[in-house]
Amino acid sequence: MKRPTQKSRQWHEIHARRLYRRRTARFRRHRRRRQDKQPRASRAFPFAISRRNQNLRPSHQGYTLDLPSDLSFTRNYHETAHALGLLRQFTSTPAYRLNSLNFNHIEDLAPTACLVLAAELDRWNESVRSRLRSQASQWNPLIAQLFYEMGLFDLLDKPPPSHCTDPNFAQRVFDQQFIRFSTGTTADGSLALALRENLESIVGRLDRQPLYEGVTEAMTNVMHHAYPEESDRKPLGGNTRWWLSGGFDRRTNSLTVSIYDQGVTIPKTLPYSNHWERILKYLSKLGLSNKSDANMIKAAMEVGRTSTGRSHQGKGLPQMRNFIDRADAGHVRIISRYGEYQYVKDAKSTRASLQTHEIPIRGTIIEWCIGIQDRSSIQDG
Amino acid sequence: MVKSTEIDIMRDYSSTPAGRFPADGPYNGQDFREKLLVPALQSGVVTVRIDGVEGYGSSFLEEAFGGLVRNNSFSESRLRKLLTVEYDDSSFRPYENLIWKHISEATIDSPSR
Repeated sequence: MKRPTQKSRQWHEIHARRLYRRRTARFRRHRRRRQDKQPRASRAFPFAISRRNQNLRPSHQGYTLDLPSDLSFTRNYHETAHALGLLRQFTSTPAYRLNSLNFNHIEDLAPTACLVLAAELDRWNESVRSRLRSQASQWNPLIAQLFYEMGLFDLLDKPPPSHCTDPNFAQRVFDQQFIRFSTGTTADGSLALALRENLESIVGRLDRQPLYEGVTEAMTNVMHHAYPEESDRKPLGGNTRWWLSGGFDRRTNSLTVSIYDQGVTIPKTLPYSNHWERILKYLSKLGLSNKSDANMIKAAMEVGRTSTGRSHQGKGLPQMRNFIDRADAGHVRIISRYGEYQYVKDAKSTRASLQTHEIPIRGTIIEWCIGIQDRSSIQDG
Repeated sequence: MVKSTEIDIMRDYSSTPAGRFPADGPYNGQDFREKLLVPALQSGVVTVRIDGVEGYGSSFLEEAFGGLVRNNSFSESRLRKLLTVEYDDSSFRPYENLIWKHISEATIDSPSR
């Protein structure tokens, strides 16, 4: 065997270094991918927990999630749904650690989005055995006050910031009044009654029957349909739960009532329902071969409304429209997974519209909104 | 002699009925049917007063009245003779129509009745 020459030794040195560098870089990439454990954030999976996600900031062996500046499904659906979806992803996946939720960027908010946020925080709090700590004293004081009035701190059983003492702050400053968040695991008519009484203390007499019908049917639907036995998703804590809130905005004279559940969503439960064949027939009759989530919600609303016999269940969803039909103007909006169905009534006509979003809601939101013109625009009967 | 019974849902049961089964809540359709409606129908003519409550979801009405056909073997014709729905508040008229609609639809679902 020949002795290595100086030239060959230099050649080997250079290539060994290159080989070492290449192997080390490959190892680092592999390690980063294993740490991420998820594909890149993409349309297929928008809630990937990764440093590439713009709402997430690494902090203390975990992440901080920034809430958007406008927390509203109407004005800022994409960012709001994205942030709330990420929050759910953290609470559902023990492998990831969410250190904190940053409220400091919030400048505007809407009641329905706040309800969903409250529900996700309630879920997070339950998942960590009520060890969630509030640093609300560091929030924007106006935002902290609004959340205090909505009942967020009571819902989570946390003390409010010391400066939150005025229960009518939102009315004085923003011309809005809120009904505090409530939650339950049964179709509790007494809570629907309390909601109506609280709303009437703000806006005057309301048409109580359709409001009661819609709210209690929504609660009952959560019990029966949100977590079908065939689905592998089970409710956190073992109880099917809903969250309910309401509010009145004097700037637009609009009354809003919202109810939210964290179930498997309407489009996913329909294949397990007694109406599934009729829904498929309805979709094909309308020439809708695309079984998008929005089309599925519309079909569920229409099939339940027009069905005669054949099944004693599934008549509750169409009742959601009754409160709007009895009002002078308003809308009911149902958002479930990627689909949104809106039924709008104005002075001239009623119409239904559909929308498909890029970011899903991981549950079902039902929002009623009616215009209160002169506080007596809603008549009984 | 045929016994006549009046059931006032607001007075005798609840002002906030909701839900279908006992798991849904305390004042549900199945409970109302089995505790009040069926015993009264088995002993004679029944008048059900439906006004005064907050409202009725379709689940409650369907289980309470449609369930008479499905679960308790009452036929629609027999219920037409035994059951009367009353109210003073005209805003509750749609509920009377719904009650008979649920009974008819339950009969369609159960052709043997």
